[in-house]
Amino acid sequence: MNVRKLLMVAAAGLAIAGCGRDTVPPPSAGDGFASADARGGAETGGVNGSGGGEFLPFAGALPGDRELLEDLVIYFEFDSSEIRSDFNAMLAAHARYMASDPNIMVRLEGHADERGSREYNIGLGERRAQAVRQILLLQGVPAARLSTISYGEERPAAFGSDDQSYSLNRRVELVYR
Amino acid sequence: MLAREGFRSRWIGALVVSMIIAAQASAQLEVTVTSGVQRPIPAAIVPFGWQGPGSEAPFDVAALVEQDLGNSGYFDPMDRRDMVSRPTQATQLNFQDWRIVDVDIVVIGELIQEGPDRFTIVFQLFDVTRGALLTGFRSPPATAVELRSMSHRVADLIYEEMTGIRGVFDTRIAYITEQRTNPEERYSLIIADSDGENARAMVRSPLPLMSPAWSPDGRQIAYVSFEGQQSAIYVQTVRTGTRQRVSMRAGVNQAPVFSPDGRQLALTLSLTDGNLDVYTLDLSNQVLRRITTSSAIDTEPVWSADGQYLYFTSDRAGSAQIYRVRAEPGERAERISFEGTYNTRARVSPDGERLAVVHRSEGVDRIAVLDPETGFLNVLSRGQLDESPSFAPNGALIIYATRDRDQGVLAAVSTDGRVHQRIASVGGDVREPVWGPFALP
Amino acid sequence: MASRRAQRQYAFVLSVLVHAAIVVALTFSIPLSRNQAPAGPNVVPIDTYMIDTAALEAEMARMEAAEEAERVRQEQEAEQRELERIEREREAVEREAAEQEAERERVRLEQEAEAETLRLAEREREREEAERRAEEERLERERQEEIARQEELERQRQEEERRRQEELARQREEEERRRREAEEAARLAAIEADIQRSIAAEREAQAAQDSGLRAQWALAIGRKVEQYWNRPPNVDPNLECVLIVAQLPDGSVTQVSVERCTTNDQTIIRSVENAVLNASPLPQRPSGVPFERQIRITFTPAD
Repeated sequence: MNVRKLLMVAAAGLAIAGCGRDTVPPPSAGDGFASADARGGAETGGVNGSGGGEFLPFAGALPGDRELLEDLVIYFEFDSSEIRSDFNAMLAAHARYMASDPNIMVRLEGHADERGSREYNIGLGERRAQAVRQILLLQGVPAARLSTISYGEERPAAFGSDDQSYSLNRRVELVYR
Repeated sequence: MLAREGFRSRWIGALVVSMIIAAQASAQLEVTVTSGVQRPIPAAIVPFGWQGPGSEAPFDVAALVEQDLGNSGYFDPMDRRDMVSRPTQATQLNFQDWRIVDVDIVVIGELIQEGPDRFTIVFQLFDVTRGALLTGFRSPPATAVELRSMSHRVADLIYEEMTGIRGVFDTRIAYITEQRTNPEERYSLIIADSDGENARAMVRSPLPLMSPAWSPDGRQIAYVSFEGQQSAIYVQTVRTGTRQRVSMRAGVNQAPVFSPDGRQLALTLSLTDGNLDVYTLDLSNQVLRRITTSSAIDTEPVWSADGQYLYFTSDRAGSAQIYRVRAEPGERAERISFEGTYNTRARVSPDGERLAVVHRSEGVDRIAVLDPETGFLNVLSRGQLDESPSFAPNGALIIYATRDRDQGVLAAVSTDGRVHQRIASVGGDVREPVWGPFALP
Repeated sequence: MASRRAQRQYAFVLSVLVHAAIVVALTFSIPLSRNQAPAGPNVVPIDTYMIDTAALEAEMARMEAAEEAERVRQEQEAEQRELERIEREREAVEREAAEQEAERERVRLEQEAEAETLRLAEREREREEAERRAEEERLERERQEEIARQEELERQRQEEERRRQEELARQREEEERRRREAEEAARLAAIEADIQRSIAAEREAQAAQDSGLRAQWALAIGRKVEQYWNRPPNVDPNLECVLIVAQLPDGSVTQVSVERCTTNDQTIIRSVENAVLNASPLPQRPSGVPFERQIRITFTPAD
């Protein structure tokens, strides 16, 4: 179980490292500016489209984000979809990271422990994924870059029928893709 | 109401009895029997005769009948090694042989080969007590592979003759298995005979499969698959394996169940707002109708027997409970379960009068039967984490998933709570059993 | 008034006269004294005796010189003292002036300090006033927010309470309904128990009539048949089946027939018939009780 978690974290680290290397565009005119042009044109009908486009807000990563970005799992209390305050910093770091690159897409995978019926747990997992999505939206991540899926109790992280396993299974995983 | 009328008729009956007693007190000895015993019927299923080439029959009909009747809990088959005689025809039957070993019934029969891969079963059921034939049948012709199913039908007929309840041995179940050691085919949707034999996979997937549901005619199965990291509902034809995707809308696509006429699905969707609600989907024209609109989790719909109502699970009052709503948009739902921490995953009995639910009380999940009219609830199972109840088509048994040493297994309990049984299944973690309808005539 | 002016005029005249007299006196007196002065030292009233004139003169000169020196010294001293006095006076005056100046400066500084203190106090007061007002406003705002929050809480509470009450009312209704049903059931059960008691009483009366032995026989048959009635799972609790049973004196059952039954389910009918058949032979009659070839057995579950 711990090994698994370690592996997960390691894989997450690799995934992020991979993302950073492969998808971060050069800071010159990239997709972000191009899309700004397109958007500006669409909204204004070309009236003031002669300029080089508007500057968009840019919230870059902060020092210390690297460690926070290695955390990819948010855990929940029993039958709850409330996000505990100790995950705020981590989610903020992820929001900054996503804001830094318009190519980053993230899937939020909601899970539940095995108590309660399977279909109800799908609802619970969905609620949790939506709660995380809401936080990221509030921090400026565009909705189009986030997707959610609920696996309920079908894909547990830990297989035991005990409180420790249950607490590891009540979670939302951030999957960068 | 029913109970009260029952009391009244009994009261009247008792009055009649007392008047009779008064009138004939001196004429006739009166004996009253107010109780009885409930024990398995001692039965002898004599090995069937074989009329065909070779000395060995291609299938042991009696063995399977014996196993079925024994597993049901209502029969106590004697060991064939203890039989003093092995008649295969009525002319060879001596009731005295069976009275001395205290069996109540004797079944004799023959398997007859009538052509290439063409077999017939004949059998007779005798009442040892009165020395009389109770019933006898000749089966339609069957191929060798159909002999198993045909033998289940023999057991069904004997069961019905002795209990008054239609047998369900020749029915099928569907369930989901998870094999963690096989990541490529980790999840499977399995169909098997009701005794767990003859299991074969309908679908295999590295990602979860959920919520199998039979069509009323047993020809199709609806289920949820997460293939492609997106939940979607499929309807698959059992015989051919071809399937159709009927819902892959944004968000959750869950919990499909066929309406009693087979024309609609009830299902759970979250669409874009992430909130689960119950919908109906007309399979002929794809018309989707939203039935519930609460901000709570509304899921696990199931149709009432007449197709007019939907029962579903909702946590709109805080804890998950069972509600009922007319299967029309804009109708008000009514809560029908009140006991325990929560009640979820309702399934309707074939006569429509009872619901099987997962009932949580004092930290354990058990299968209970709920009367939707009175709210009366009767806990049947004995596990710690029992789930996914499903009525057998005769309404006398409920199959469900339970846990044995952290492994999901299948079990069944009779609705009178008298018989508990374990159902064999293929390896892995087994869950979400659903009992199919009676076999097509 | 008039007399005072007269006095003043008189004084003035007098003063003029006196001054004039002084002037005259001075005018005439000065030559006199000048004439006398050179003779002064020469005319010394002494005793006449014989002295050396030269020595005398020398002595005289010495004495005069000494006197002169003394006089000069004294004059110098006086002058010095005068200078010192003047200096002291000047210093005193200067000191006084400096002291006054210092005093004025002190007073001025004091006044300035006082003014500054007042000014600061005023400013402090104003600041405090502003703070107080801000605090009051804040408190008021918080109070309003608290009121709004409380109102919201109260509203939620009332809503919750309303729901709870509804739920309670429903539960009470349900309980009431169950209670009524239970009462009704109990009432019916009581009636039935009464009937059963009366049946039992009749039986007892009958038994008494038969010396109790006939009843004991019936009970023994009933108990044996109960042990052989294997009840099917679908027996209606309100079942009532009456069988007519023919037997031989040894208790062997020769025939069973249904007189009447509330069901026509063959499974159930067979189960009661077989109960009697399997119970054969039935318990025999106690001695003294006449044999009865045909008896009546009623199956009616009591649970």
